Amino acid sequence: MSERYDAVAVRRIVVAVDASPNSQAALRAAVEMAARFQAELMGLFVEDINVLRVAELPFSQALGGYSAHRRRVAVEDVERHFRSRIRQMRRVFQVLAQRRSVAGTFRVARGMVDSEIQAAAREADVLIIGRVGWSKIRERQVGSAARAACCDDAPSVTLVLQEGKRLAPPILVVYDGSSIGDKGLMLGATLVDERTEPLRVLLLASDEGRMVLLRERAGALLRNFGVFHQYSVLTDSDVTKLGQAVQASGGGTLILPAKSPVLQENAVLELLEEIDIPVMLVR
Amino acid sequence: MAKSDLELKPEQLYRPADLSELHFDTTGDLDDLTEVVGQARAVDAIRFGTGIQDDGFNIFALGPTGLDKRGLVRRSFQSEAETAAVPSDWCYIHNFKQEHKPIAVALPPGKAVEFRDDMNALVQELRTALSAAFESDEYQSRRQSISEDFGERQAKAFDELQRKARGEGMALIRTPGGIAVAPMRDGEVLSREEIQNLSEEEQAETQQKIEELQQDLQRILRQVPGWQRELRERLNGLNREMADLAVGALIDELRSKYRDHDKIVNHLDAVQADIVDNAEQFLSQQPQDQPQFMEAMQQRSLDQTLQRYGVNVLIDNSNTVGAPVIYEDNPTHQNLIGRVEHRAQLGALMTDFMLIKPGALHRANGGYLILDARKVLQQPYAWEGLKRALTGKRINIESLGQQLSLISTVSLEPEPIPLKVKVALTGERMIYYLLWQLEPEFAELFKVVADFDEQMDRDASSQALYARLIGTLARREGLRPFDRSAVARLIERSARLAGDADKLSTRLREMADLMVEAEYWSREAGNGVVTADDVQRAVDAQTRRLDLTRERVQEAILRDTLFVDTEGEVVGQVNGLSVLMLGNFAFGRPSRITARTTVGKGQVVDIEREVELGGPLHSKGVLILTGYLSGRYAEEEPLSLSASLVFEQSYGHVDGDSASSAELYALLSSISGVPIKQSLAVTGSVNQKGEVQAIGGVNEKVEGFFDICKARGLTGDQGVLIPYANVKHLMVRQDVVSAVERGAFHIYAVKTVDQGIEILTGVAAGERDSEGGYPEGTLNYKVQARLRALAAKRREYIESVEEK
Repeated sequence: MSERYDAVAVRRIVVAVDASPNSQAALRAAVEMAARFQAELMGLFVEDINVLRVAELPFSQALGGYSAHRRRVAVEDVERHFRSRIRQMRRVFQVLAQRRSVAGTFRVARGMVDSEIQAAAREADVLIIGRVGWSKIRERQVGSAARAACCDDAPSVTLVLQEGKRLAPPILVVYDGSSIGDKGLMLGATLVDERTEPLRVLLLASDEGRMVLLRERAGALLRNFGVFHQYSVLTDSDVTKLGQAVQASGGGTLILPAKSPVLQENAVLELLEEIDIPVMLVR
Repeated sequence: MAKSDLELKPEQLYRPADLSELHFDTTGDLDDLTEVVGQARAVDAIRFGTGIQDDGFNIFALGPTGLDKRGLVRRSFQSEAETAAVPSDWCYIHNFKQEHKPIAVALPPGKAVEFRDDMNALVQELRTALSAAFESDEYQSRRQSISEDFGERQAKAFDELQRKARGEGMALIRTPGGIAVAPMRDGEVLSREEIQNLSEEEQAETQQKIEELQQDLQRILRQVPGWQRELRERLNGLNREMADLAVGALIDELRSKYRDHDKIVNHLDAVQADIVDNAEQFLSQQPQDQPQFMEAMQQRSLDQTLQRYGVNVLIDNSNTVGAPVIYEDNPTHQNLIGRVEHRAQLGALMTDFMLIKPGALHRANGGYLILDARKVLQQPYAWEGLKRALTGKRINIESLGQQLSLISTVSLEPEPIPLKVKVALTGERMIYYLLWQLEPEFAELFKVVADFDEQMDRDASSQALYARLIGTLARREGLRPFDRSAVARLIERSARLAGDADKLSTRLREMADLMVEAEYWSREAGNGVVTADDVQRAVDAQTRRLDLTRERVQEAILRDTLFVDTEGEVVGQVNGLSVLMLGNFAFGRPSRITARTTVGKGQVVDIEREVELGGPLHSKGVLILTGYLSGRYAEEEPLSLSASLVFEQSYGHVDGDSASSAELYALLSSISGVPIKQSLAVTGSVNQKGEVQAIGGVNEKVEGFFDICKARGLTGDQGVLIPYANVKHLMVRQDVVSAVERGAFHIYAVKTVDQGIEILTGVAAGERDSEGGYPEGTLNYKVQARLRALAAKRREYIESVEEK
């Protein structure tokens, strides 16, 4: 591994898969990232215990999403459903990992999806997850697993991906001058491919003095990486404005410091619902 | 009459051309001939047929091939067409109400192409205008607003339900079978055991809550399709509004331009409505959002939509001067009526109005159409199609497959186009008369008959015209000039082709071909102009190419395979002459005719007829002989004769009565026992009164016997007896004329059997006296005497039989 990649240590990546389109995008991004950092990859499929329990309930009934007809939910149907998806995802995982020569394992766990993913993520440097999983009830809502992955217990980097998306240039880093911001900046510098696009840095500065300061600090950090970069500034600390700035920048992948002042409470989730590009949440 | 009085003089055998009225050295000095030679009747008929505009006055130009019927009709039509109005353009457009019935539109000449270009330009502008409209911020933001409204409504309903569920310790869980409602505790669904541990009341309460929430969920889910339908309707409404704004102005321009054409204005209204209805097809697609084949399918769908706004120009008269004059060389049903083509698309045969192709009737509409009758009749259903179009006065494109229910693929029923056309059919007489007899509607549709004559009178003025015609043909064919001698030879050849020294052939194609060949030989010989020798060489070469069979027949005669004597005298045997036609080549063939007589019941047996090798005309000739014999020699007592006649070594069909005089001579010789000179040959038919009548092919017959005699060596006694009525037809070869000049060959023209038999036997025929007898020693005396002897013998025989 080059000195440049050592700046952000990525040795183990966990990707949560459930055969939904979003999770397939997550798997592809995970293999890509594992290949780049020569990291170990673990694919995790969680058999949702809640779904199994519903099936076991004596009075359980499900309503068809299209027909609105009620029908009994059978345990066998649920288990067959899980087996089918596990088989499918294991095959995709193996093919993709083999293609990029990535060392990886595919694990199946049964339990609460959020807690199983978080448990697995605790042992990893990066968690990659689709924005909405198979169990989504409505389209634009961020799924419960992704929601949980954005909480404080998540590993240092969490990447949330959307259906059909990948880690695409240009890379846009939101920089607030914090140590986590520095980490995100260095991660961006590591991921950027100078042949395609410069690294774009969005400075969160309420005034000009702050902006100059952030710019100097970012410049000093990036000097070590020798990457070409461009700056833009966001003066308002507001998640809506941030979302608009991200959309306007035409960024392909967003790197965001989790403890940024603009991301108070559920702001991360709001942002994820607003924008449709992959987001890397750095802690 | 003395034998010498009946012999023809050399100048009677060949009538040279008389060009005294014309002063020229070569055809280069002669003016072009603009009038038609020798076809006054046909020209008048065509002129009448061309001029008259009433229904059914179409023309049938009939006559043998090679008379330039088509050329004459075409020139007449062109002359009339030059000053006629240029007919309308025609095009087909899509019918938005009944897709399988494209609409026919008539436009002033040249306007159809303009209309097509206008519509093509509109389509191009549509793409731009609609893309701009649908990519505009206004459209995008309104569309997004509508979509978000739907999303929010759905989200709100689910969020409220989820909130309510959470408040009641429940959650919505997605399962493979759909969405279920389940009791929750600390984020987990209660297990079966936990449920079972609940009291009955708690279980009932939980179940009640689940039931209520499921009902709520069901209500929401049932609302979703309605919301989606509403979303689609609102989006469609937006699309329509934007499309209307984008294209309205463009179409208004065209509407104003074509305001005088109701069909086009209606079409533009339909196009506008269609664009608005299909507006979403114009929405630009994001290539990365969908697979390539989907993009291709969408593009194809858009192309198909746009194609319906196109114009299929069927007839463009922008460059037409006057009315069109069309000759259709291959008058198939499709080539006449037009057709609807198909293209293979995903394994199926598809079509649309752009694949309608015009036929000759479309191209000739408003003008003139010339067709070869034989070709029309040879093509399946072509005549039916033509007849239907002329009768109905409209062109109705319908495929044969459809008409006959042979195929059931998707096809069109294009709107019929009104038809106004003058049609001329050219063909042989037989076709005309057959159509007249067998086709009831023919007389109603082709009321003008232009009858072409294959020959014209030959006199000084007509020969002068013919000379100018030769000059005109030479120039038209790009040939070098013909000198005076060549022109004369061509005229003489024309008379020979007409088979009459007083006529000229009007088969211009044959003459033109001969001229081309003569010019070829002239070039080969290095002559600057074409001479009589070149023409003669061309004639000889033509004959040479065709006369293999004649050569073989002559060879068989000369080698005595076929018996034909040319010297000596034989009783009951005469040389008859027949003509064989091989294609357009005819030659004379001498045949031995023999007769045998014995006592009998007055019958002349035609052996050819007995074995069914003789045709009816031949049999008629032979039966006439019985009448002649009875009337001449057996008025007082029965004809007690049995005679048989045969064409020796004839193995094919024999017809015509031109050998009847020869048969009579053989019969008289056989009865009288007077031999016939074999150095002579005979042709001519005979009637019951003993008059010798004209026959056809006299020149070929004379030459046929001459060639045999010449090959064996002319003795000075040889010759041919022809009917006097055929003298005017003589145009024999120059070598025959030369032989006659030298006295080496003789041609006798006889009017009666008596004149003929005298020449053939050298015995006087003898005239009948008042008592019905003939002078002793004459041939008729001997015939009568023999017949009386035969009658006596028969009487004796009958009496002896009766006595027994």
